[in-house]
Amino acid sequence: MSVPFLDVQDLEQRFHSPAGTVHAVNGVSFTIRPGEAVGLVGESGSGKSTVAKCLVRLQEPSGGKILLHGKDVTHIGDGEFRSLRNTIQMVFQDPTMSLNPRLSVLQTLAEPLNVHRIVERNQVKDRVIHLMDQVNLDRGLINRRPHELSGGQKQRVGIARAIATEPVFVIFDEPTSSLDMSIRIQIITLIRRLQAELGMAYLFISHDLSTVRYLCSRVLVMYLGQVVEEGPVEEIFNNPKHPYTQALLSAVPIPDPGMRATRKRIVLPGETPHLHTPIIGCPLADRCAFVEPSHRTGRIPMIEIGPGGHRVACLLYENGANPSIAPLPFHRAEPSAAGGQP
Amino acid sequence: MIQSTTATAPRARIESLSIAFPNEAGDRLIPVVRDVSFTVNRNEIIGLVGESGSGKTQTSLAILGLTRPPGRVTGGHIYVGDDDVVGMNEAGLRKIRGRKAAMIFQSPRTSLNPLMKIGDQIARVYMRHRGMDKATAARESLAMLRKVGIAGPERVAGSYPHQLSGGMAQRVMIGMMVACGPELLIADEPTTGLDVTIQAQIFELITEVQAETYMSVLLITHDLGVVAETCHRVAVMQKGRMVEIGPVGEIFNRPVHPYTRRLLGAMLRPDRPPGDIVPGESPSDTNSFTVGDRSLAAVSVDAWKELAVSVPEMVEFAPGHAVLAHPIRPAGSKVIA
Amino acid sequence: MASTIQDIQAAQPVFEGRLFSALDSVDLADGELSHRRRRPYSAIVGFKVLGLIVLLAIFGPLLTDFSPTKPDTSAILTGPSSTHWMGTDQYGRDVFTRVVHAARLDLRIAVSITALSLVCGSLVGGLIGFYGGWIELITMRVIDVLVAFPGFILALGITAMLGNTTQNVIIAVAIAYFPYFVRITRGEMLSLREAEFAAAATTVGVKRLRIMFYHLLPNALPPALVQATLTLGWGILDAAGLSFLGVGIRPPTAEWGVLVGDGAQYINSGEWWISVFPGLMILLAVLAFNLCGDWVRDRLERR
Repeated sequence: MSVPFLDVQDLEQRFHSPAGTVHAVNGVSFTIRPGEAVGLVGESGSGKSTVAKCLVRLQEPSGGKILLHGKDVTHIGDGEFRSLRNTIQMVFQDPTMSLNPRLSVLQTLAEPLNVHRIVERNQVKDRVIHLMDQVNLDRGLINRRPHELSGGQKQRVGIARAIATEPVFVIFDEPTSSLDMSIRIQIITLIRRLQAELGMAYLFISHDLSTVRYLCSRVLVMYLGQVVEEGPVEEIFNNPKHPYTQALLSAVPIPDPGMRATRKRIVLPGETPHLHTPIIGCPLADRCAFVEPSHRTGRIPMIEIGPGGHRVACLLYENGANPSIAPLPFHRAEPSAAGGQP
Repeated sequence: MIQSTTATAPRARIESLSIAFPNEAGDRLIPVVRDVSFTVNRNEIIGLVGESGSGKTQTSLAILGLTRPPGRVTGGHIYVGDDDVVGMNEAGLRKIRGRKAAMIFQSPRTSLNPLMKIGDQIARVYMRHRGMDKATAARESLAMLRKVGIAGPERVAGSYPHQLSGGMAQRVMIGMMVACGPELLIADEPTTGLDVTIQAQIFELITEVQAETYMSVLLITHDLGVVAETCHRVAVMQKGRMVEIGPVGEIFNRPVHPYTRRLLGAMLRPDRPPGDIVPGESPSDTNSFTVGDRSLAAVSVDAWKELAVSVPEMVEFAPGHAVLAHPIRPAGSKVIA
Repeated sequence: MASTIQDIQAAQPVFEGRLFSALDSVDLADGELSHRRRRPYSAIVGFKVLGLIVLLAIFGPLLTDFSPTKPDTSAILTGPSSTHWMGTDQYGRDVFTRVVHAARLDLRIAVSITALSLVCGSLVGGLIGFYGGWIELITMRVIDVLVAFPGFILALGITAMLGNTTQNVIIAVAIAYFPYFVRITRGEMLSLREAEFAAAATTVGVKRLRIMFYHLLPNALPPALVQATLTLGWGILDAAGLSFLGVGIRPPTAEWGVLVGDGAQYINSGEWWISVFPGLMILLAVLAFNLCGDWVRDRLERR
């Protein structure tokens, strides 16, 4: 069991707006071990992007701690954090916006190499070519600017930029949301291959659950700024325990017409509220069918509920209870062993 | 498996539609939709699937005469009911829009008038298309808001579009469109940018409304999951061409065209543990088959030039299932140059 | 039935024997030109006129033997002729010679004013837009004060204060245009600051100052460059205006505004050529700069 190199403890982020204080992140804790592929899922308002921004120090959190290799980096100076940036990198959602429109591929990829002095100046171009090969980017594109590249090519540049400094940890913030279907699959397989080759840990943030299932070994589910469930990917997808996770999974469309008649959709009434008051108790309380008065007070603890560190923040499971509160979302009403037919 | 009823006249009939846009310099005309033909039947939801550049959006805009100049329809006919929309003047189009066919777009908040309250906007539709007076229209608006699943319809009716969430705004759009009472609803990626739980609700709403009113729905999407769960039939477009069309079960289980097969093969399913995808191998560009005594090959559009194919035609592979394919002559026969 | 690529290729070609290929684009016949295509006629005219003026400035003085400043009492107030193409003024000086010498000066003034205000203004605007804070607040209030005065009056006051030399005229007019560059660049910087590629550069580890200068400022410049093309033309007008009023460049230095001023008193008595020719040159120069500026703006906006 390797020691976690990233330890996030009770992370909090508050935004002040005229309408009130928004608790975008409200006490999030998790760890990531070297080489681990972790997925972070949640809908709008869940706070997942804010967590990512805090991890790369695009924002400073209002509370909690972030520990890298055991060292508290939450509030260290900008300069000091900059020296750590070669170990944590990020791939952004929209490749069109995240690349400087005036810089060529060579210039964009050379920058991290130069900033962190990864190689000697005269070897930079060779290293850039090597990076392009790694992400399957045609070498002939090296002097092109972003507007001369396709969406998939631009995103490959974004990925190449992130791995240029050989980081230990990469955060992918919805990297395929703006891409076409067939390109999406190429990028996803690229990410998987790179992870196998380079052994980096990554945090894959996405609302596309199929991709998360393919790429990640562990999943965190967020709702309204808190982690409501976490665990091994197969546990979460086959055995979701939190009512929100169940609703989320039941809403994901399955590309199989044969399953149409048998899916049971779990509907959460209302919509994700916009937060302007701090939440006390369970964030899902107003929409959950199983809510009790005791769920609305205090902080909901994470309860171990399954193998491999499957934990859920839900009082329905306290004291060893394990009520079967919903039919398994992907399966027919009578769960079958194989779980759906081809 | 829900089948569409084709017993009565189709709601829309698109025949050999071609649309083209001039390039930047203005000296060449670039086709974006080429020779597309299909029908939208009564009481069905038909999905139109394709990637960017497939021409799916342009096809649907043309149905309502919304092709934006300098692009134009360069050939074919679009019959909405009995009238050919191609070449129709504004007056004629205005009669069709709203009554015969209506459209909802990707970002509902930009389709709504930002300066008018929601209730007033819906009421206006009732007054204009159903001839109601102000008081009746206001009542019907509230009823419509409730019907599309908005809790607290009075509050929403008194709000402005920017005060609504994306999901709510889209429900309002659907409400407004249904108020028009169209026979055909075109929905262009109506849930882009919406959360997956909201997306599920929106599609449930569309399905419900369709079942109640027998309205036909042309649903443009890139999400095969949505197609599988919502549509009765699906049409696949590639690079301006319609390459395959058929009942959803048929297409998903027995795809014939190489492009359709590529799309389906590259799909990730949320309900299955991941196998290994092998996109490294270049997927096959051709798929040959026989129909009766004819040999045909379906070829991916981006390989047409390279393989120098002959004129393609839509061939009926199975009942209701058609594929764009090219005739093959048996090897050794003469070629008339 | 086996099929190979050869079989498909051997398939009977149709359509006049030409094998069919997908999505050929088609040449538009001449009668079908789309409304977007147009040749930039105005820009061509602008560049040609500008080119002419520049050539005149460089080579003009070689075309004449006359001195721009030495009086010649034998040829006072003569009209345009074959020896004096633009006539002579009240001191017998050849107007054409003075006009072309003035061209050099005026072009130099235009470029200097624009360069000075563009560089200083963009720098200040970029810096305060990026860093914000109280420096931004104070600077913007100073800018507000400067902008409260009509540019010409401001330049007038500054020249009067500093003394009327060519250099001071340049500085004064540059100060009048400086606030616009600050505002434009600051505005661009405010939105660029939030751009995702700026965030990306931060995560890569680029220092803030470098992000400002290397990533953001070059992207903030296009609108400033558009303003610069306008400043080229208006700068000449302002400088000429100041000289005409006697506050700017002084005679006998040949500058178009000075030349117009020289001939002002003779318009009524009929010796129109002393003012009209230099006035025409001002007109052409400003027009040319504006037309070229339009073209630059079109190109930048299309990106």
